[in-house]
Amino acid sequence: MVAKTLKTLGTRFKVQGTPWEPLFMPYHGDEVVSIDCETTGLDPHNDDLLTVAAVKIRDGKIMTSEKLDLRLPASPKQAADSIKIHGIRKVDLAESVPFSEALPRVLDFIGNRPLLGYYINFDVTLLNRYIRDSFGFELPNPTLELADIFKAKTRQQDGADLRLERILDELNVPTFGRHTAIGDATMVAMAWVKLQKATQRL
Amino acid sequence: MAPLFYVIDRKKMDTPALDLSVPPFNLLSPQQVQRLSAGLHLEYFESGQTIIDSGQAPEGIYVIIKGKVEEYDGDSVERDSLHLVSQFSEGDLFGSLAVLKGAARDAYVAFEEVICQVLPARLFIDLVHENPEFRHYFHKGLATMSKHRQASAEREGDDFSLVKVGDSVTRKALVVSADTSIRDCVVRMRGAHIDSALVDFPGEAGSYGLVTGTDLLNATALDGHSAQTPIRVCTGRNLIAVDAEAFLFEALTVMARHHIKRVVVKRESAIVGVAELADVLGFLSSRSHNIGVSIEKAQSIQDLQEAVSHIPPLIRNLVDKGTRIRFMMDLLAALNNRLVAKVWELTVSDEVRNNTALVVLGSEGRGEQIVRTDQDNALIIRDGFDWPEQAQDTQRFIDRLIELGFPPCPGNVMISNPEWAMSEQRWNERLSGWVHNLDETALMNLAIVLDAQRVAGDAKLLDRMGRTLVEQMTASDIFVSHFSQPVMRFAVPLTLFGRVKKEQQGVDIKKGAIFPVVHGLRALSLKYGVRQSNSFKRIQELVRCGAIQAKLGRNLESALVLFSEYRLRSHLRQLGDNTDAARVNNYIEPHRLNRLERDLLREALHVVKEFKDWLALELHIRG
Repeated sequence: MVAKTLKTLGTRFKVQGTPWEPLFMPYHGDEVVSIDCETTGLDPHNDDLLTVAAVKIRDGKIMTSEKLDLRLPASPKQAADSIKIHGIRKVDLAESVPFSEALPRVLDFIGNRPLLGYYINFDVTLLNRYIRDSFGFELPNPTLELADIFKAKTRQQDGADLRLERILDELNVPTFGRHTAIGDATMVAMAWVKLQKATQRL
Repeated sequence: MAPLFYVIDRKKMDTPALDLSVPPFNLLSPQQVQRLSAGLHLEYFESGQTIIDSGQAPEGIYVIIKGKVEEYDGDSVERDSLHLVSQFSEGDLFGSLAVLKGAARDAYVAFEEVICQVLPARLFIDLVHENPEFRHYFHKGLATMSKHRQASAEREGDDFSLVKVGDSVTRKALVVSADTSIRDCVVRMRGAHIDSALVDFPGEAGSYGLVTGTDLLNATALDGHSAQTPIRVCTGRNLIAVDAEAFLFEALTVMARHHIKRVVVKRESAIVGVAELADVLGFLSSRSHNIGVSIEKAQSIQDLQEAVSHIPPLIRNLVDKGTRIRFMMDLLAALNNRLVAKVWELTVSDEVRNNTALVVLGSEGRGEQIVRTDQDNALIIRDGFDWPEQAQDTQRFIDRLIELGFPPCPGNVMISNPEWAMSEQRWNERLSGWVHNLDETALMNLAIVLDAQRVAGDAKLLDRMGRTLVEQMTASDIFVSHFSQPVMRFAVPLTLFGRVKKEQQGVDIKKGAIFPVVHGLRALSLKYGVRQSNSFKRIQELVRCGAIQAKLGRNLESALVLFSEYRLRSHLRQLGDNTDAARVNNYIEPHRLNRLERDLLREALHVVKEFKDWLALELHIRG
């Protein structure tokens, strides 16, 4: 915790005067960004980013009207397995956005809002790899882990089944567009909104 | 002009998709659909949470992805079943009117957890302004929605019910003078390959008669006229006509009703030709007329049984072809009335028939029964007519009807019950007793008698009784308002999906929707002296005499057609499951309806509610 704060302070000094300075300001709003990445594999240090999608949650509403859904250029690592899971083929990546354009758009979209995700550390670690290479800093945003929040709020036992399918099912969230980044980001957002409301009620 | 419907590939959507294949969203252009999709957001509501409060300007229009929403009357703070206006479920859309008016009249509350797509007000209003089709969908009432439904039902081609008499079977009439000899007339008819001729009476401008091959044959072969006799001796002057704009069906109905083989076709009261039965039948693949003919020819109950067995397949066939419900009603009423008359003919002597009037009551009297679920009949007997076998005759008649598949009346409104087969004088006493008694049974008896229609016997008997009845019932305004009171008895089942408990049962369309309209129209007809028994004709007359506004009339007509259609479908399904006809119920199961049909039903139920509210003021009914 302390290490992260120090690191953030250090970076803040570094980005002073750059367009990214606001990212390091403390966030005072009540918006959250639900984010999800699709990748060539499950290793955030080595696998490549294929798509990144994010949707804002404002005032308990999932603003699908303000979403980000970017496809990145094809990766040589794109394995047949991954194609099977995500249904993304190289040809689908034809209409992709180059990294030089995509990363600033991601940063611009999320700003300094908290990031929500399912196994959010995976997505943040992966994104940081790219952002570090291009801009020399890492995402300072606070993160919200759906699996943890679900576990705590619904008082799950240790070792309980925390697969996304199960969480969505428990919370009665309708599933659609599963295994697309934007679909998952939207469903995770819905699950989180429901958990938030449930807390208010208790 | 832009195409009316656009095809959109829904599989491409990653967010929960609206059903873009049904109105109103299929009315948008691809570009508008794109803006719509980009502008939507998702919202989650907990059970009990207010989504739109009454008086509030809603954020947008809502389409339910999951869950149920209830609409409560904005005039009250109560949120109980009495104030429940409507209920919405998956796929339903709500809040459009509130957005267009800038404030919601009613409150919309999540009945259980709800997830909605929200189309922001701003964008919705933009789309409404840009796209006239889209706008009409939200601005206009039921009539337009039905039109959209027909368009989406894609019924085409051989729908014979849409063929008009004037465009199909009308032949140019052969016109001959009344002074023409029988011989010359036959020659000219042969030359024109037609079996009838219009007869022009010299010196009587615009007055025509009709002579047929059979008439000419009878005149010479039976009545001993020579071939030189002028045809005026055998010309019928009583012309039965149909409008050229009438559907083929109507021509058939008229022919079946009058037992004739041709009708004169008129356009704006001028004769344009003749329609022959053979031609009409050539045009139709249906068995409707054959059934009519076999009923006519029947010599025994067994013969009738045979004819009757073709009726249910005929109905299904007509339904499958998408025949308009009103023509089905007319056709079936004509067939059933002939059937009842024929049974009567086979049961009693001519003397009995000439001294009585056999009438059908209630929905049969109104001509609004398609599937025979019930029989209500009555008999008016000429004063002083001595009929010792009344009990046996009437019982046999009813037994035969039951045998032919007319379920007995649970309320025993049948002529085998001496209470419903009385002399004129006793009827008048009885009616006057009911008028003064005012209890519930009396009111309901009066109601079904008001719908009476004669099927056999002396028409004057019913005419006289009807007149006396109306005189007594309209003697005071207070009576009319009392009489119409039952309209208010059952709440309109606007809670389309009911409370969870009622769900298996569905909506009782007869009690909550058809009855209030039918009875309201009956009461209004009484008040304004409209002598019709069919509800649609009552609407027409009431509009004509200014008793109800044309718009309300149209809406009531559409609503009634819709209820009848849904009920017919439900009846046929129940009969298909081999349910006994007497046990067929009037429940509509909303889950069997698609979203558009539910919208239409809800809209139609709103029409009923409006009608009731208006009626309460109009007839001073205590609520």
